[in-house]
Amino acid sequence: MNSRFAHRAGAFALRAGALFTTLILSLLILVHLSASVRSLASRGTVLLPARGSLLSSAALLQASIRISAMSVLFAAPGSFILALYISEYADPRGRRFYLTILEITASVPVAVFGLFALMFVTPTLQALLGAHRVQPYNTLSAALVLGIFLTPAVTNSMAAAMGRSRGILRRAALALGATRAEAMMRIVVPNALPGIAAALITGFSRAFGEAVVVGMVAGSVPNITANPFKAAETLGAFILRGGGGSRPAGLYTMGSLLFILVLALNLLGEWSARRYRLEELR
Amino acid sequence: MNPARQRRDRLTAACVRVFSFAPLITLFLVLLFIFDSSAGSAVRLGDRVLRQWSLTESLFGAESIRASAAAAGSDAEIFFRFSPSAVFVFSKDAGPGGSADLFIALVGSLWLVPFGLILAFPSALLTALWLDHGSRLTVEPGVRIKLLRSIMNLFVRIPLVLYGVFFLPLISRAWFDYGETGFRNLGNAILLTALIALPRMIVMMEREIGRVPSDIRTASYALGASWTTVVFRQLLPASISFIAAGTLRLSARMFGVAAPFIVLGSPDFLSAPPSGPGDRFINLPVQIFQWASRTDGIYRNMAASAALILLVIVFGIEILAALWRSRLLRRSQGLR
Repeated sequence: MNSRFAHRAGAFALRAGALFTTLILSLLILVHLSASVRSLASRGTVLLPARGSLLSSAALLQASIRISAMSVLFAAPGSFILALYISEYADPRGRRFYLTILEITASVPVAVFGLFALMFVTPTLQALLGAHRVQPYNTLSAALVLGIFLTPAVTNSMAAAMGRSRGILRRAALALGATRAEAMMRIVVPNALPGIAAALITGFSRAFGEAVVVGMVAGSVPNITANPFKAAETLGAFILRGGGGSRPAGLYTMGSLLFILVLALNLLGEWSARRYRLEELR
Repeated sequence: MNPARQRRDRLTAACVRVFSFAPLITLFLVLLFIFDSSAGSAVRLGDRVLRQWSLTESLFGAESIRASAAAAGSDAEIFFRFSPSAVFVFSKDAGPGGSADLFIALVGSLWLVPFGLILAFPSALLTALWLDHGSRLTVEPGVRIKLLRSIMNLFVRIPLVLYGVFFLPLISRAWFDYGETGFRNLGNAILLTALIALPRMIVMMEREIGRVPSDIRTASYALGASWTTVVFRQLLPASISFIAAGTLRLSARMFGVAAPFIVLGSPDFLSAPPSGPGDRFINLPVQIFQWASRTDGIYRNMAASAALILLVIVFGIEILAALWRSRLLRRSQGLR
């Protein structure tokens, strides 16, 4: 009798906890949707970023894409080589050590990277290329520092993808007389390519949604430009600044835009990762 | 074997070995730079700090520092600044952006993270246990499990700023009317921390519960235990210490969160640490953001000090959690 009651109470607690979590998380999305719809339905300024027109939201989008692409470009080579080292050359102890180091460095707060960019990267760029060319707030140093910020996470998932593709094919290649480098470049890397692409896409989406570093480093003026030495505001930075004010103009619409884009990028990354199959090897 | 191929093999190995250190060295440089600019010498005239130098500048440029102190006047004095040690000094007269501000930010962080995690812990634990049970027993997971999983996946992936955007209409306009700024308080920030932690915590807990060997589960069912008995008497005791270590690691991540609190409207200056959930708040990363946004070099050096404190906290917790986890793994080797 008593244990039956305990069973009922336990089952109720578990179901209630799960229901609570589901409700609270879906409530967040629903309230956000209703706020977006409301700000879409009301007139003029609320729909789009305050400083003007359709052009300024296009500028936000362009700057976001440009900075994320540049940061992935900066992060990719180093992460790739480090992942190669971890999965191919390090012994098991070294591999565990490096993966632990990467996990710990992945927890460095983004604000610290922003500070590093402001105090070191931008002054260095200005000293190297001339202060007249490099503005005090510019997208290049934001992208460089975001590249450093992305490195641990991207390396981790790349190393995981390469570790998954170190199967019998690699051993067969080694048995047939391939050198280690040949097995690596012709078996492991091509086999891990979907996983590597997924890691890069995920890195892109993380950089795309990053707000603190770009808000600190890249400036606060919407600006359509291809010049990395100039200031440009991104979607994330706009959202970051929009909330502090009393009238969050365009905050919810731009938030929805960022939400949808990041979601699409993540789905793309997952699709790419799921394409990994041993049979598809050429 | 063809010597050319062998040479190429050795060359590739050497290249990978050498260049693999580049990203690690870059990360190390970031930390070194923060450490370098968090301390050093400074020139003070009365209560006012005139100029500051970093550690390396102080070590190698003593002459120029003395010269600029002499140029500032006969009352100017050179002192060694190391703000992390001054955090616990409760005075406001430590120069612009004094050490008292750092203390206020530290108190804010210490309010937000523990209370947020405590708030999220029970429902995360129940949800994780329910998810684990539900996905083990049935062949095809039910609609509720699929829904919960997809929502959680969504929330783990979206950028942190969006938590602020999602949370803002919930607290500002929807039901309660706090006025223009009344809702930007510590209590809501703690709720926000709990919301950020919730999905991450569930994912972590589910992973740890899933590591309990399935033999235990099967044996319990064979002996006639109900599923709640299995969950509360077997799975939970077997995984709770791992869950605690994982929660510790999660807290390290939560200490570094800045973006949603900036969206929520953390002020750029506070004169006293928050004493209750109704007060305004600021935490360490937000303080770094605010100070770094000023063009004054003195504030940026203060931000570097705050960053050093933040890094010590985060790395301390991370290393502690990693050691704890490896110890737990070693002790439970026979079991799992």
